[in-house]
Amino acid sequence: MVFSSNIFLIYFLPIFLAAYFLTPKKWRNFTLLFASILFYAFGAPEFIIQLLVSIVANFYLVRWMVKTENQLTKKILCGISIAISIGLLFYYKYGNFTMQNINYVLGWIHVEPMKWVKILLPIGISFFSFQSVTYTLDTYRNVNEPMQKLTDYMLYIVMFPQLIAGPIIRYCDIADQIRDRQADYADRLQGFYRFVLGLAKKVLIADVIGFQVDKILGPSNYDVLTSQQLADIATKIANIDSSMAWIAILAFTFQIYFDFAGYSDMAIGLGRMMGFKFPENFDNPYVSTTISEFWRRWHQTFSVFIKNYLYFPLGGSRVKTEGRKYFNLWFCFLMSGLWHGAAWNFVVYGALQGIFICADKLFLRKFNERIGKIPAVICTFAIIVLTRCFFRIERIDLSWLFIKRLFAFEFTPVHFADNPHFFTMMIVAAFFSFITLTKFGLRWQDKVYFTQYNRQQHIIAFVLSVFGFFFCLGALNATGFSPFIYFRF
Amino acid sequence: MKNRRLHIILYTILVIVLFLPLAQYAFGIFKFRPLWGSATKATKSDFTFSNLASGKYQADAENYLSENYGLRQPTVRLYNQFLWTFFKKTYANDVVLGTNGWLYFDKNVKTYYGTYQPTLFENNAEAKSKYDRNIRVLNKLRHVLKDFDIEFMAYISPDKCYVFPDNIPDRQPDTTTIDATKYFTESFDRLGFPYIEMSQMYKNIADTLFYTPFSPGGAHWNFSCVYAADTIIHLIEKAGNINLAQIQIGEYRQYNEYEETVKHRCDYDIESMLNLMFRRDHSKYPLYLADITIVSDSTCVKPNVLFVGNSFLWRIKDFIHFDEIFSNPRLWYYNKEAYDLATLAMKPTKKLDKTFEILLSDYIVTFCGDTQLNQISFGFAGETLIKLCLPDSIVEKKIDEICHKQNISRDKAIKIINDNPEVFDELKGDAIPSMRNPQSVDAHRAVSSMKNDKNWMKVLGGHARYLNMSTKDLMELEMNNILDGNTLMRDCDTVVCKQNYQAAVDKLIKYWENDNEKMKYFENKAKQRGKSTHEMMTIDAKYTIVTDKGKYFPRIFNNNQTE
Repeated sequence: MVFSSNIFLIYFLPIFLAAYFLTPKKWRNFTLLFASILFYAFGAPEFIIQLLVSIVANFYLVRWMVKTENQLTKKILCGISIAISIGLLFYYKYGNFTMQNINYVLGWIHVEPMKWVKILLPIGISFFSFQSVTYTLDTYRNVNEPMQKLTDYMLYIVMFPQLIAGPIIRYCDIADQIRDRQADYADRLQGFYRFVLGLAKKVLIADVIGFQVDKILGPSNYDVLTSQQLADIATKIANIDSSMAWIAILAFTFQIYFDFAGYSDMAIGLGRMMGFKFPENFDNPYVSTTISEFWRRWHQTFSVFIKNYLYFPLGGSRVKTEGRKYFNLWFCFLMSGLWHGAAWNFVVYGALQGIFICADKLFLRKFNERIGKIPAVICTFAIIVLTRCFFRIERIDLSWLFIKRLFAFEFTPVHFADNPHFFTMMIVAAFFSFITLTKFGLRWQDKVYFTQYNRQQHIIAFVLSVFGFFFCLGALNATGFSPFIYFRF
Repeated sequence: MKNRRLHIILYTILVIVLFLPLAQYAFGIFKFRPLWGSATKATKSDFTFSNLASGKYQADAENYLSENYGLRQPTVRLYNQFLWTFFKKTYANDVVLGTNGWLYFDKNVKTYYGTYQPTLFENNAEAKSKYDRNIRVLNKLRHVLKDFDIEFMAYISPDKCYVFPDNIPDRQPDTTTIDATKYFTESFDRLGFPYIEMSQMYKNIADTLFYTPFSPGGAHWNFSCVYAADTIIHLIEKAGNINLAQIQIGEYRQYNEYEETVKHRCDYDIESMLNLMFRRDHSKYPLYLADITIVSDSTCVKPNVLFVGNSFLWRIKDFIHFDEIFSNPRLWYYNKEAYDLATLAMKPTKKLDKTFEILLSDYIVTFCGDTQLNQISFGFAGETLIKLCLPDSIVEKKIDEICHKQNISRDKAIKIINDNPEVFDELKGDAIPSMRNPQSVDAHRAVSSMKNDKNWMKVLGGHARYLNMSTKDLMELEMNNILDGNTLMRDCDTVVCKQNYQAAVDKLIKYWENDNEKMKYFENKAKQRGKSTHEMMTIDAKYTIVTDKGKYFPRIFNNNQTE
């Protein structure tokens, strides 16, 4: 189920909220758990059993691990638990990709390819696998006590607001809230305001921009396209003029931000309505002056995960040689690229990010500091936009062709009047992406997101949110349904 | 404390508001203006494990909900209004905005600029070949129909873009494509085919009328369509050298389409498709209408007319009672839905005895727009040509051959031959086919003999009134009586001839069988008389029909006809 679907907005949300708040407090976790299982089962019924079995297995493995005194056994159990989570992720997410490449190599050396039935990717696996890993490792490192109740652990993994596309919540950040949390009426209201804000980002901005991106570049997710559709995309990209190419990639840069940030807002808002305080996932990433800063502001919970559970175990920056330090950095980004999708374009995307991060540490940051804030933001944004080519166009040859078209300098005039809705939304997206460069923007951001509203603000926000909710519902049904980009990761 | 109270109030309102769409769906609390436009209705799929596992159930449920959730109308209108007000954007299919707020269908604008043809044909040669074939088939049909005493003519409905080119969106014209309207009219002129191209006519009308013959927000002609009707009448009069009843236009009065009946809202049909929250200002282009009187004298005749065509004709019937001018006026809407223009009763054309319907007509008028010339008559011409010229055996053989060769269904094969009757050697080329379908010839003879025999028609008319049926339906039955060699209704003392009598008895028994109380009554009665229930019912049905026909027979009989 998707937040921006009719089923969620019209049926699931009101019924769930009514049921949740009518349930006595001590039973609320059960209501939430039941709703979460229903939420996942509705979207991916074929995977729900596997998900639940893996959760149960992991819970008891970790329990056993905690009870065990022997350090070696502890390590082995920890390894098994992580292997289950990562193994499932690898099997479902990278099985097809691995076999495809093995068969390619076998074909190259004239060996009969191996038979392989294509596997479907369970939605949200990248997110809940990581949460499962944080539970095991945080418990292993004694950061937190393990959950006493299986249902509490299940809730941590399958809680519907963050089950499908994050934020990736570390066990240590939420363990206490699962056991006990408070949500007064103000929280419930402000959670709803945040939810509607996210819905608006998704439906009114990202979807409008995304529609145009798809029109210019063809649909994404090449795995499900036919060879004819892929050939059409190739023709489109080969014939695109530079103006349209720049518009498309700029538009995609805004689309992915508003799509994903919108989802995170909805998740955080829903969580807040129930008394959870989920970590923020975005902090105005496009105002970053360096690539390192960008990754601290973009998909923050993922960056934190990579830092804590991959970068640090690799040695982090406390390694013997500078070379190793940069390799660690680069490798983490390579892996993060691969996390986004099992395809070579994501590998290249990750590798490029890694290279720019290393360049940042070596000289880029100093350069950016010298040129001043605004030029630094522009430079960083330009790097992000260019690397997005490998993110959006899922074949390296086509990505490269597209970049060539960007710099072919074959510009044709583009008129605002040709598509005023799209260009207006681009301006709106740019405005909200960069407004926090100003003090005024920062002040407003704090007011909207992070302060408790007074009476007047509550009334205004309430009216706007209710109007926004129905307005988005109208937009959703006037234009059709569109899932979130990060769903397939 | 005060804050907490406010929070509780707001939260309570929020919960109510979130439940509103559900409540509206379940109880229909508010009445909203329905949304306009045609779409394929989403259906719910069964809640089964396989549907659920494959995701079909979820996808269908989402689509269904999208079309049916409570508050759909106001929320969709709200967003549409936002798009329209700020960006002049619409999701209505094919609608484009011209200058001064005039709306057009994109297809028509493309046709005007010559850019529509490439969406239909690969190149000019392919387009020309299709156009030539359509013209040949129309011309052949016209000559064949003449043998059956039927006049065939064509109308090309006016295109708003041609009538009001000043307001269409500015685009780059493509002068290399074929102007289909010009091509058809030139060919018709060469062949002496009776037709009227109405765009030019309406361009002239627009200069003389005190109101716009097309509304800025409409695709079709408005009240001005009565001029087109008048033109049709005159062309028919000229073609048949007859005198028809005339249209007399009363005093004009201004009207607001929103205050009038639904039918007048058609004047803003494109605009309605925008599904906006607020109505656009129409004061700049006021609409007018007048009462229509049909004036006739003793010299006037009422020929049988069949119209085959598009929605332009549909609009005329909103203002003019065709049955006062013609006998059995019928419209085969896109050759798919058959409307009786007197009663507006509809049947799919598939369910008609098309041979009878065609042969009943004295005039057949085909109606299409500029964008539809590639499919002029919507398959009617080809199908009729085959029906009238070729015996069933030849047609069946060809259908089998196509099915076998192309490995397609029978329906698809029939569509192929109707679209292109020249697949038959007998119908190829420019020559008028000499072959005639003997069954059609016999049917024509039967229908003509009835039509030309005033007494016969009088008897059928009397029977029809008695049976509460149309004379046309009885003519169809009588035609079958003639072809099958049955007793004719003309020669029966009673309305019920042998065949119909038995059918009526059977039908009445079936009717009773669906009535539990009646069945109990017959069971008891049969027991008392020592007969089976069915025997008892048969006796009673026969008795009822003979003695009480007026009460039972028409109803049963009509049911039979509509099945």
